[in-house]
Parts: sequence; structure tokens; C-alpha cells
Amino acid sequence: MQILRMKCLGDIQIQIPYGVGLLTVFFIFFAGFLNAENVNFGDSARGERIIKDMRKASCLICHKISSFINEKDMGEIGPDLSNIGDRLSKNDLMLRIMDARLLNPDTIMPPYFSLSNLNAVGQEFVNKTIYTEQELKDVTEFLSGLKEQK
Amino acid sequence: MKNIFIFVMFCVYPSLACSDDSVKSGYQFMELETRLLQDDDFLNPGFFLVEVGEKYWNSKLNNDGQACAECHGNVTTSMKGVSIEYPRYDTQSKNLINLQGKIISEFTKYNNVSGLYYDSEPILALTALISLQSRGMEINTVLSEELEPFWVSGKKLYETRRGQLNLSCSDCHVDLVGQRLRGDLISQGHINAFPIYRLLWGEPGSTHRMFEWCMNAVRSEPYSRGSTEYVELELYLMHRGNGMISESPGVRR
Repeated sequence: MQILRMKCLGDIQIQIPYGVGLLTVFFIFFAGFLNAENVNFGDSARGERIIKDMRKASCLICHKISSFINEKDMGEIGPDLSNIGDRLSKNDLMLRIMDARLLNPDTIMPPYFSLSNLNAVGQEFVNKTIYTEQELKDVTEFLSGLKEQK
Repeated sequence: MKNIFIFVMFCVYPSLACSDDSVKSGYQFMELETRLLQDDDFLNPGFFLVEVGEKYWNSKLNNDGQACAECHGNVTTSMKGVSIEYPRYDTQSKNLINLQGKIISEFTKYNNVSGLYYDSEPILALTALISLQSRGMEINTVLSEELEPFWVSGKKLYETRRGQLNLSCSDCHVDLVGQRLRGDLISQGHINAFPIYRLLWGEPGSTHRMFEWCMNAVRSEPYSRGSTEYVELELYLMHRGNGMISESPGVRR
């Protein structure tokens, strides 16, 4: 049985069947339609620092954010994140950062907060997610604030 | 019916005309400065390694041993075209062997030297010297019946996602070629210039060191240099690069 491990609720790590995990994540996803702003517990400034931190598998390796005028050579593989807050709710953003494979199994977007279905992970990174729960919230908070200036 | 055919061809032709599946060396994805460094044998830092290789070619590693030159003679003639024939099937061991593995086995046999590190100076330097003799020659790896199972394993490794970032070699070097990953243009990931002098390392390195670097980059557990898995991957990549010209010793960012 495939297991989805989620480190949540502080330091408690839970292991749940993959199918249940999928349902949980989709619940979060659909909850976004009911209340698009119900995820609101991150720190945007901290999220910005995380995004620029190359040790944290930075979003900028693949994505571009036009407001980062001092950042050189941002990636162009993934979608432009400059106004991503206009296109996706916080819940949608968080889902994509957590594990975009739940929406598209073939995506090359790394799963930033999932341990499921990973192969030959380096010893240093075994049983560790790319982001911590707090980092996930911080980055989500920052990205959701990226909106077109009106 | 004829109109439908014309319409379909009208839609399809531009995409056919634009598609470019040809093999391209990493050289074509490099900055001009790096290209110029590779083009000039006097400036190319890989040639320091070739010089060291000449020293090892003509000398023995211990008093009881034999120098390569004693049996093989002039490297420029005896080793022409040899490097692009590796990895090959070794009938004695009934296993796949690459050039570095062959050099190590020759040292063990004729110089009674064992336990040489895969990327040790004599091995890497001789690999560079021997590979230089095939520079300008076309890679044409023929998959024999013996080689095919190793090629299949290499292909599987190439296409399997690994590591915390969950990426395979093909995710980048097939699907995203020509796109920008931070400051780098993603190449097709060919190995026609190895051993290379890598600016990022500040020293020369082997194909297996590059594989290790990539696996570390996706936060995956690397295999050891010289391992069967890496030699199989090397075979897959050599075959994938058929039609390309050998550039060893190359320079890469």
C-alpha cells in the first residue's frame, strides 16, 4: 500500500494511505473554492527569503518573478510567478507546492512537502521534506501576494 | 478528401519543419568564452591532464611493471579511435567495461598495482590522453547482442526519477533542452567531450564524476564511480550520442 507521510501539526509525523492522503489534499483544494483565503498563517517576508535561498531548492531555478529586479538569471522552465496570486488561491498554491503530482502525475515540479513515491533519496535527505510545514506556509503566503499592480 | 489532406498537411508541416531531433554537443549550449577556451589547445586546461597522461604512458608505475608504451608504442597511432569504442563487452569478465575500467585492469595486470582510485591522477590522465587520439572522430556505438541488456539498464536509469527533487536525467536533458535553468541553458547531456575540465570544479573530471554531481543535485543517493550502474548509463549515453564528434578533452561550465 502506498503511504503518504505528512509532517504536520508541529513535530507529529503521520503516515496515511496514499488514497486517503489524496482525498485530504483534494479536500483542501476544494475548500479553496468555498473560502479562497482560509489559509493565512504564513509570514510573507520569510517566504520571500526562502524563495531566494538557493539551499532550499529555490523556486527561481525554474520560475521567474518580475518584481525580483535584483535577481539575475531566473529560470524559465515553469510558469511565470509574477502575478500568480491573481490566478491561484492560497489553497491551490499550497497544493501545488506540497505535491503537484496530485494534480499532474507527470509534472517535473518537485514535491516540496511530501515523502511519498520518492526513489533513491540521498541519505542526507531521507524522511525529510524540502520545506518544513512553516516554510510551506511562508512561501504560500508570499506567492499569494504576488498580484498585478492596479 | 483532398482538401482535408491539404488542411492537415498545412497544420502539421510547420511543426515538422521546426522540430529538431538532431544530436547536439554540450559545446553548442556553452557561452562563447567557454567555447574559445576549449577551441584553443594552448589555453584548454584539459591539456594539462593530457601532458600528465603522456608521462604515465611512457613510464611504469613500479620497477617490475611495464609502461603502456612498451606494448602499445606510439599513443597517437595505437590509440586512434579506441576511446569511442568504449564502453564495450569484455569477453574475459563477461561484463561491460569502460575505458577507465580497462586502464585500471591493465595497470593491475602489468604493473601489479591494485586498488587505484577510479578518478586517480594516472587513470584520469591516461583516459584524457587516449581520448584525445579520437578527437574529431564520429561516435558510432553499435549495440551488439551482448551489449543490449546493459543498454536497457542504462536507459532505465536515465529515465527513472530519483531523489528528493524527483527528477530523472531525461526530464531535463530530453524534455527541457534549450531552456534556462537559472543561468544555464539545459544541454542534451552528451558525454562526447569527457574527460572534461569543468570550470565549476576548477579541475578535470570523468563522466562518472558528472553523473555523481547530477545525482547529488537532485538530492539522490549516487552510485560509486566505476560502478556497473554508471558504466551502463555511460553506454546508453554513448549510443544516444551516435553521430556526434568526439571533443575530448572538453571544457564545460
